[in-house]
Amino acid sequence: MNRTFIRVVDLYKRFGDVVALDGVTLDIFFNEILVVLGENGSGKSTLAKVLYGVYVPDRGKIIVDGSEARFSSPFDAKKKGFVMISQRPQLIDDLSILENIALFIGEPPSGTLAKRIEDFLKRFDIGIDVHKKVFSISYTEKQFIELAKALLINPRLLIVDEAATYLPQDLKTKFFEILRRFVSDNRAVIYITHKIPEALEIGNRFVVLRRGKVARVFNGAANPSELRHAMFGTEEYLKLVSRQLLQRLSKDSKNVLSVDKLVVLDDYGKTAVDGLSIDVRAGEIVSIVGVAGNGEKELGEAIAGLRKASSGSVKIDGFDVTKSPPSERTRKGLVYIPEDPFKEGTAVTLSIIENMRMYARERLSQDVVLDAIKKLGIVPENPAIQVSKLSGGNVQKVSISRLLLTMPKVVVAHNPTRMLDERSRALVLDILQRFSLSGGGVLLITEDVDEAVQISDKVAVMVDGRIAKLFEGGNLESFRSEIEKAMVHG
Amino acid sequence: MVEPILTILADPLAIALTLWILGDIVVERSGVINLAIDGIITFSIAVTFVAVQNIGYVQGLLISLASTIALSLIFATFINVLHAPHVLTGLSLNIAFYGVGALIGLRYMKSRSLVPIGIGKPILALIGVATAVLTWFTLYRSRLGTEIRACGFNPRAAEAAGVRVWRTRYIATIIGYTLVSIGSYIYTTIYRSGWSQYTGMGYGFLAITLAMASSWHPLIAYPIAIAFGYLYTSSYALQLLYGVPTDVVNALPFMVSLAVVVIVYATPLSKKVAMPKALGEVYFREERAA
Amino acid sequence: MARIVVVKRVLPPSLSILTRFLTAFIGFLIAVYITSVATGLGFSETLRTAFESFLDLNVFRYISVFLPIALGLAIAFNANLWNLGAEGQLVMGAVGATYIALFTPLGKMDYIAPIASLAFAAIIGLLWALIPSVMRLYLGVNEAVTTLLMNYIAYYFSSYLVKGPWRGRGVYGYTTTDMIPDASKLPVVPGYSFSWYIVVTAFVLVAIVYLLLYKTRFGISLRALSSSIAAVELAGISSKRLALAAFCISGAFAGFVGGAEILVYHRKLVEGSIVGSGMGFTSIMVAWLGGLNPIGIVISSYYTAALYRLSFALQIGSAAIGDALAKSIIGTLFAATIVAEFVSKYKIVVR
Repeated sequence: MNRTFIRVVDLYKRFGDVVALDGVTLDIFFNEILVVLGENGSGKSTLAKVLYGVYVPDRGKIIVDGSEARFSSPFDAKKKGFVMISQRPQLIDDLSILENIALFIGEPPSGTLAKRIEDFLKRFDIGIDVHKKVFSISYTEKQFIELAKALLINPRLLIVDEAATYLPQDLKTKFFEILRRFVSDNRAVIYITHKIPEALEIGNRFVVLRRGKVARVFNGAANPSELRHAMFGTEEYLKLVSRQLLQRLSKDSKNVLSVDKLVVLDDYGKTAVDGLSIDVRAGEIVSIVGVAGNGEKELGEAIAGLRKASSGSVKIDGFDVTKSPPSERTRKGLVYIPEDPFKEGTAVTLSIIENMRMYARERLSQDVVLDAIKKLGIVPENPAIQVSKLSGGNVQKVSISRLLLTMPKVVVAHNPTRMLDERSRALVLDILQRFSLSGGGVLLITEDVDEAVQISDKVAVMVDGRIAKLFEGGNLESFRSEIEKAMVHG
Repeated sequence: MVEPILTILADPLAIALTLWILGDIVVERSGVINLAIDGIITFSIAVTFVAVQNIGYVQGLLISLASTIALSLIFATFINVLHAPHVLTGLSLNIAFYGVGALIGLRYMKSRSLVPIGIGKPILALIGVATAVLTWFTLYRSRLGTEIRACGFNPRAAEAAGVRVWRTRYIATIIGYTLVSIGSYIYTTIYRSGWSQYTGMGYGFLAITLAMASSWHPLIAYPIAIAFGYLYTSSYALQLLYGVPTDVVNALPFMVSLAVVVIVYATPLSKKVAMPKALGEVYFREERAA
Repeated sequence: MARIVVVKRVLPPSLSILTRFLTAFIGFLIAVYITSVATGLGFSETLRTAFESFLDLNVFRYISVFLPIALGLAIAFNANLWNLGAEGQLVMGAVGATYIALFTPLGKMDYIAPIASLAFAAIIGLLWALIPSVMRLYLGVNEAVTTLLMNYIAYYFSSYLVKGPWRGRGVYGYTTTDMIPDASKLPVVPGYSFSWYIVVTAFVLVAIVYLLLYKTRFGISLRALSSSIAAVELAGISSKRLALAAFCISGAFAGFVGGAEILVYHRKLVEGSIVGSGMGFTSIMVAWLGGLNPIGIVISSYYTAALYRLSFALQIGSAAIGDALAKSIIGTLFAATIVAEFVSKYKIVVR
């Protein structure tokens, strides 16, 4: 018999006009790994943050061991034995590993604590100097530090918010083993993910969230198609035109973007892009796929001019722009769609129409603006609404609208579909295809192998700041598994 | 040999400056831009002066401490609870604190000066060194200090690690302004021993600048503060010996500290600065991260 | 244990404006009360004087200072540049105007003299603002700190001038320059201390700044700077040039006001701390109080100007007490508006 550990009753949370949780009720039993599945924007991360006391719900209760628990900060949640690990490690980069862990367990950062932590980390086969600053360690190390730190205080509930999603497969297996061992002995794990295979690998039970509501609960076994159906519903998708039909005369066209032996450092002075070269010709779509943290972000930023290149060169349409600021590159014919539309893609305090006026060099008529809003399916359709009031996907669409408002020669897009639902995703990929058909070059930097093989002429796999392997010609979809293997093992 | 060095290390203005800068460092390390320090210093000098004049030296210190901390709590409430922009809060409160301080001073002042406290040079010098070391120890070796610095680097991650950001920032404010208050006390009773309207105005901004120039590190801030105290004292000698105009002498500290900040931030030195990255960020816990 | 938690809320614009007006009004009543206690006048007597100060034509004396400076600052603040140096830029503008009026032949030419003085004042204000903006944009030095410090340098510089090289011959014990020539003076409205020329210019600036900020790509991109420099750059607009322009405009406006203060009010250069007397600092708050919006700034500079009038109308005892009282009241009211901002954006939940 399953005994109830935590009961979540009718949780409701809204941010401005966006309802993130719309009456979520679910139970968490002892000794189980409960998977919460949902696509981006379904409310799963909000649920995790409410359980960990980061957000205070507008309505609803969390009942632990039969009595209501009220959290006004993670401090309170920790006292109940709840700990969260998230996809972006919540470590303070400028402090040492020791200081970070000391902070978490509430002790001064003493030498004896350092010893204790080092001993504990050895159990996970991590031999690391705990006096190192966090910014100098790798993403994988950070995630294991997060896990170790959580286990050090012996919690009762571990909330894992996509924390293993971007780990290499072998380490992921190790991570999962630790979780499985953890849940015995009257404890539980809530595992949050948007990846169905991952969910099936780790979960005992499954809760699917959709638009802030519990769409379906699977007590026990579940199959992928049922999960998928619960996640996405029965919406119709735009059919993508298959790339093979579009093989055009790009063979002899000239380079619109050439990246030559580019070296770029990350925020902490480590080499992130290590002498990478790649060309994009007019009318061609080239994808760079890689697991986050292998330098794709820095590559995109260096091409856009947001980050300095330490050596090598970037040419746009034949002009050397290695030393130019982003604005000049844009004037030379580059359009860069950044990964984070809130921080770099749009000015969130301005309205939709003002953002579009900023993108476009000429004066825009109201009609052109309304047309772009319609084409991209931005909701609500009111051009005077402030961008900060839109949901993530719609903000991304505003950022992408510059493709419709300007006449660039080359587009560099970094994870342009990450925040989008399936329908909008297809739409954006379609826009990129059309752009290349009209003679523009596209460099798509993405974590999503599916979209890379669907629309590209070439797929380059990026590992440790270099191109590990280049796939081109023929049916790229058939290289799928090889590409995925290359992404992990180089 | 020892005597001249001791004189420099025990210069009461240098010690006051040291305490002001250290106080500012503790507050700003928690992520709060501390512009209100200028108004609070001006206020605490006025209050110290009239309290000492009317009641006594010990009581004066206590009253100064209590009222300074009370004002700093108002400031902290604006920043933490009211989520107010740091710079605006500082500037508004400054105007009010200058005014209220002056009103209190003008109302209760008995004469323009008081009898300065005689205190041994070694003791004064010790106050400076000890406070610098203690502040460093608290910030870099204790649990509280780690929490304070965490709030300054990344309050969101600190909160996720179970640090109560509000509470930590309140505590940092109280510690910081305790030092500020003692600094004002030393300034008033030892260095200046006189008061006129708005005495002390500008020192707060100077302290902020020098804290920044020291990369908010207590052990770097200390020598900078001492050097500045020396500069002040010797610049008056410039005036007496060489007839340099008073206004040039008065402007000198501002120009020099400007130069120091430019040198630190415009050169590769800035790469070494572990600045509190969240300084001035209005931290709202429920803000949705992209 | 009860814990307080702050959450966001969205008030409809009408309610949010109402909140601000209500806070302004309550703040006003508190100010009147404090003043009546401090001065010993009755509450109703003080209230009457207060209302009169709102209707007094002399509010224009302060509006012609606050309005242009705050408009300029609104441009800089909209671009997320913390120009806290309006006080110093104003003082330097005053120095510039005095130079043209007193020490060049232009100062004695009818019509040309005021125009040349004001133009030069604006240029000097601009150049004074250019120093911190270049340090910020090309060397990465925080502009809030540098502009703050430069205020004091401007104070001491002007003080040095009036005590030393520029000291007037017929001023006896005072530290001022000689009076500027009549040709340089701008006529004041009889019985008041402001000039319609400056007031009209200020209102023309309101229209210009409004159009600039909301109707041009330049202004839109400028406002975008405060949320994302990267977004502006990626749109193909040089953020550095934008920021430099914004900073310079704000300096020029403050410099212009400094010049106007000499031509209209002081008619000679006095010490910087008297020319500025904190009005440059106050203008920073006026700009924010008006929501960084030109129309809002018209209202906020009127409100602040009236409070200035009030605090001087009620001056009892020494000028020192009057000034301290004015600071206390104005500072408190600014703090109250920050509270109003909080109330309209957030709410407190006790759990």
